[in-house]
Amino acid sequence: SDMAVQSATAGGQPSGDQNFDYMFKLLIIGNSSVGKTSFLFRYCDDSFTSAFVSTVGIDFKVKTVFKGDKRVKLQIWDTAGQERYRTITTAYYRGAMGFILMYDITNEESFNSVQDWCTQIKTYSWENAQVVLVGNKCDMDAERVVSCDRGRQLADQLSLEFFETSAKENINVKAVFEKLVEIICNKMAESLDKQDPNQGVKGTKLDANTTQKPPSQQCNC
Amino acid sequence: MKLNSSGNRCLSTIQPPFRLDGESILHFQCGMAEIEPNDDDVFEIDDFTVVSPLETLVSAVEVAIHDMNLEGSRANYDVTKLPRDWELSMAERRVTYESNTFLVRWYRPNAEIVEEPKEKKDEEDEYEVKSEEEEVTNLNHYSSAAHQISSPTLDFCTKNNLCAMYGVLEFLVLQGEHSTNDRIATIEQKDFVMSAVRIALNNTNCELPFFVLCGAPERELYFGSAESRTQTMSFLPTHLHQISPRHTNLTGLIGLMKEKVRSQASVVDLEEVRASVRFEYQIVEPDRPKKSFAGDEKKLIKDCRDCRHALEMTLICLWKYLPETRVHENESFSNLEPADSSHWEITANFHPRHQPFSHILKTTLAHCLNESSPLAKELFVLPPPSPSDEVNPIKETTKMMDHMSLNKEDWSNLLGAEVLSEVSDDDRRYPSWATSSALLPQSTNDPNLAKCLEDLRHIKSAPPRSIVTRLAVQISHVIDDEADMALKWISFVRLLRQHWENNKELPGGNKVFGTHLWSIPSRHRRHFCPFIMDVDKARELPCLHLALSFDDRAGDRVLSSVAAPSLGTCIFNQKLEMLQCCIKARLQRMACYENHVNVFAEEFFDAEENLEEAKASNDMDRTPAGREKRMGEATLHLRPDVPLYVPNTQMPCPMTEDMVQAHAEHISSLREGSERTEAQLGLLRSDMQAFKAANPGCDLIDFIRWHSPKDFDEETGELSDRMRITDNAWERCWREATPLPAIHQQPHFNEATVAEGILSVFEHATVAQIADWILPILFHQTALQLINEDGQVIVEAEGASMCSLVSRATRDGSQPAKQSYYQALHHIRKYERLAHFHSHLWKTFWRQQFLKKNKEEDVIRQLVKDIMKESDTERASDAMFRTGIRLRGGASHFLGEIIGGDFQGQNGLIRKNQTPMRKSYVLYWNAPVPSASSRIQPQRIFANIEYENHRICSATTNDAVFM
Repeated sequence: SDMAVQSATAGGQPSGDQNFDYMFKLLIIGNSSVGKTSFLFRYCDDSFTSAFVSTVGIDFKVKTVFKGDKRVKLQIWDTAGQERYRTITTAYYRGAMGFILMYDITNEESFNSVQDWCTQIKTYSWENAQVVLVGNKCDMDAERVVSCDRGRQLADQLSLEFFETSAKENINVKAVFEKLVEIICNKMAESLDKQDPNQGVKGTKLDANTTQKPPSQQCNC
Repeated sequence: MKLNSSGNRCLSTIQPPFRLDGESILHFQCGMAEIEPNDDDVFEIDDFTVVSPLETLVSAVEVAIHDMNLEGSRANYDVTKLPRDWELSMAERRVTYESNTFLVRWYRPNAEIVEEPKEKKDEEDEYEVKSEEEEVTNLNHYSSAAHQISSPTLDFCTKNNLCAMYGVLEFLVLQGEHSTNDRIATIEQKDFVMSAVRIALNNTNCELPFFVLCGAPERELYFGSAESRTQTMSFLPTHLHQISPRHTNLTGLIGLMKEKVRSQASVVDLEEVRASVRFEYQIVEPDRPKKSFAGDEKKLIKDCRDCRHALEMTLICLWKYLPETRVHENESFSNLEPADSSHWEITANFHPRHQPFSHILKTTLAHCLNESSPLAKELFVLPPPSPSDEVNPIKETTKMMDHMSLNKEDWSNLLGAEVLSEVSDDDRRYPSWATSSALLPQSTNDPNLAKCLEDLRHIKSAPPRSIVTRLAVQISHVIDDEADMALKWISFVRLLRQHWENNKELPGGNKVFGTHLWSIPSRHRRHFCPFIMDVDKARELPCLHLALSFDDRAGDRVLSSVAAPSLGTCIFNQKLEMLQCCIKARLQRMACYENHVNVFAEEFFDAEENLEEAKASNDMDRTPAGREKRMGEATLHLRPDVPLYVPNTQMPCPMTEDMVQAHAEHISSLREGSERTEAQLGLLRSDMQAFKAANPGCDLIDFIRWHSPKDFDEETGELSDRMRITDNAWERCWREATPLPAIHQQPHFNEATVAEGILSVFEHATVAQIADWILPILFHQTALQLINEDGQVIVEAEGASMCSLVSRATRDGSQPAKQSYYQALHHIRKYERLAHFHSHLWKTFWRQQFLKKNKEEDVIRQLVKDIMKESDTERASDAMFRTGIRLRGGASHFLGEIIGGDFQGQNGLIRKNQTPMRKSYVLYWNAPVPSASSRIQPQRIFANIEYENHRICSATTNDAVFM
């Protein structure tokens, strides 16, 4: 992949610097304690702690990546998984270009909620929002209750991309974000193609020359 | 000699060396032929080496003819076999003369209709024998061109003007390459060029008619000539503004022809003249709207004038190849009546001078982008409201609507009367357009319509029946007048404030906000769900139940019926919903206090007292407050004998999308994660306070068990690792939280601040802001109305693209210049024309009596479709004739009655004795010319008579053998 990490700013002011060509707003959602915050810290800071304080409301991190020769700034919002915060977090769905819908492979309930989360996305997000389904904690194979096949089946059924990941062992974390950025770019290129060139709509296609991940890498189980 | 002088770049400097016409050409040609290069005379040779200008042009034309291989006679075309879709194909050669360039163009039909040459040969063999006896009917001496001009097939031909004017099918045209520089402008130039052409035709034996284009583009004349071994033809045009009235009718034209042809044969031997006639009648639209949509009288007059000419419809009546004894038309009498013609065609042009929807949208966009837009309140000041006004929501609504609908009737013509009235039938997909409801596709089996509706389903606008939409529509009535806009706006805002200050829910309440559910399939309902929905009723809808069930589990019931504004709608609608939220929240709070003030006051003060005690000794003795229900079988962590209760809690603050945005920006402006957490602890803190109040003696473990069950291990009874991190936000918050039931807490949702904020923004709105707020609603309404007005037409014309553009424009938040809206407007303009075109045509032909007759309706629908298709077909701008849509059966067709009425009364669209606005004739006469002993020769006159545009073109043939 030609997508490279340029900088990994934790926190910071997302709207402050203009040092990018595109900004994608992404959201990580899923049940409480499936590992959303750990996943985000692994990606942005390459760090892992066994316990992050349970997120209150929403929080975010920023990371800039390269897609072709374009700088893409990712503003990744981390959300509280508790039911109590659901009405708050859904208000932020609007405007998100991509979602990482996460469940915990050691927790059946979190997997069973995927359908509900998906409905929430359809209801509150923009229609073109892209979604990747992620089964986290795949390092804890001994406690696994949701098989990789079930995860993939559900993803197929909902027409989502699918990965099993481990924030702890850093498995597939980067791949998830790369895939999400890629499908967002493809969607953008598609809608640019659809537009009538005579209408003078401004917009440039992102080069979609990212090499596809071999399928074996998508699931480490 | 140059054709091109430096000053005048026309051919004005030509001084032709010869003035040739008629017979002198022949002499001249003979002279040319006689001069042989091998002549002995030295003087002649010298003379011959000097090439005259005429010879230069002649040889250039000859080269062109030779180049296209057109020497000698041409094969006969069987014009009767022309297929429907034939076209003329064209080849051209460039001819340079001095500094001028001409084009020689060769036109011929692209269809394979050449007659078998074999037959012709046979006839030629018999020619000598037959010619004596059957001279009159034998046409073997006819050249290919003579055959063409004697056939009525090309009458009023629409493919090419020369075909129509002279009846020729294959011909050559010489014209200047550059329309001004190379124009043949004067008679002298024309004569000079014609001479060259005739010589060239003769030298090459080319039998094709050869035309020379003369004159300015607005008055083009084609002079022409054709020569065969047996015939000479000449083509002469006239084009006049004024013409003797004698020659504006059939009888006069027949006279003209006889005069011109001057046949020497005795009257007895002569054939009748035959005539084809084409009359065009203007069809007048019935029930022309007398009223314009605007109230202004001046504008009314202007608009009426504008729409009068929007639809130009023409009835074409044809009479083909009739003998002169059967048709009579002179200055005082005519037997050419539309009812007697069996061939009717209809054509239409539609050029709307005024497109109300597009105009409104364009003006609204212009308002939006006006940087120096004035404040609405400065444009109009209402008299202060009388304090004694008892506010009655229903009465007030009616009053407001009355006040706002000064032009109600006018507007109802545009957007449909239903905009202002309640709709009881929830199943209707969209408001129907009264006059064209017959066209409304009633089923969504049509995938195109389904696509349109699907695209509009995702639109970010307001529910079609909501007060927001009504207001937007009302304001759009007066979009041209900022002061009127301000009046409507300010009176609306004043009404809002009255409702807020008097704690009255907004007019319409559930009814207005709720009725839009009809258009949303149940799976999308939550998306569009208004906050006003009755919760019990909402539970019956499966999706709503799902959405609400999240809240259920969280147990927040205090402000349960005040949900958040629907973020799927436009910001204006959200703000109004938010205002309604505020009013409802305040009403509920008031009701709450009234019902429970005593109980709560007691509890509250007890709690306060106990708080002191709790700090000192035992929290368990505190009186519990704000319990909603038991939390299953759960008991206190420290006291297994005391059951756990779910407390009443405050609901999260409802937010409009700009509030969400502002909050997100606030969060993202905080550098440290801990600050960001701190900024969002409000809800957690209030939940903890309520929990503590409901469960005296509880600790954090109990709270986590309720609030974040995943962080509580049922087996070990311990918290998760992350909840046990030293001094984490949850723990710290818990330590600081004092027991306080939700009812006594500082409300998260400060409805007074929010409502005042919204009202203040409204009261200080600029015209640009108002326009910006109503913009998505107006685009939405326009798209709906266009689909609705003439659904099928728009849908078939890929109206889905318009719908998706409109939908996208409303959702495209980042567009200061409104490009997406302009892009959508571009399409709307196109579809508006189409819709109105269709509507005009439909109104013209549709009659009440066809209501139950499906067959008739289908015929009209097809006819309207065909007429629109024909009208929008690209055609040459200078084409003389158009092929209309054939009305088979003419006057006897059921639509014939509608157009012609009974041709006695005034019921028809054509008045009795209505004069045609254009008359065209083609006259045919086969007569021996020039002498009585000549063989018969085809003569043809074409005439076009209309106001200040009279054209007569004659094609006359002379026998070149028997003179």
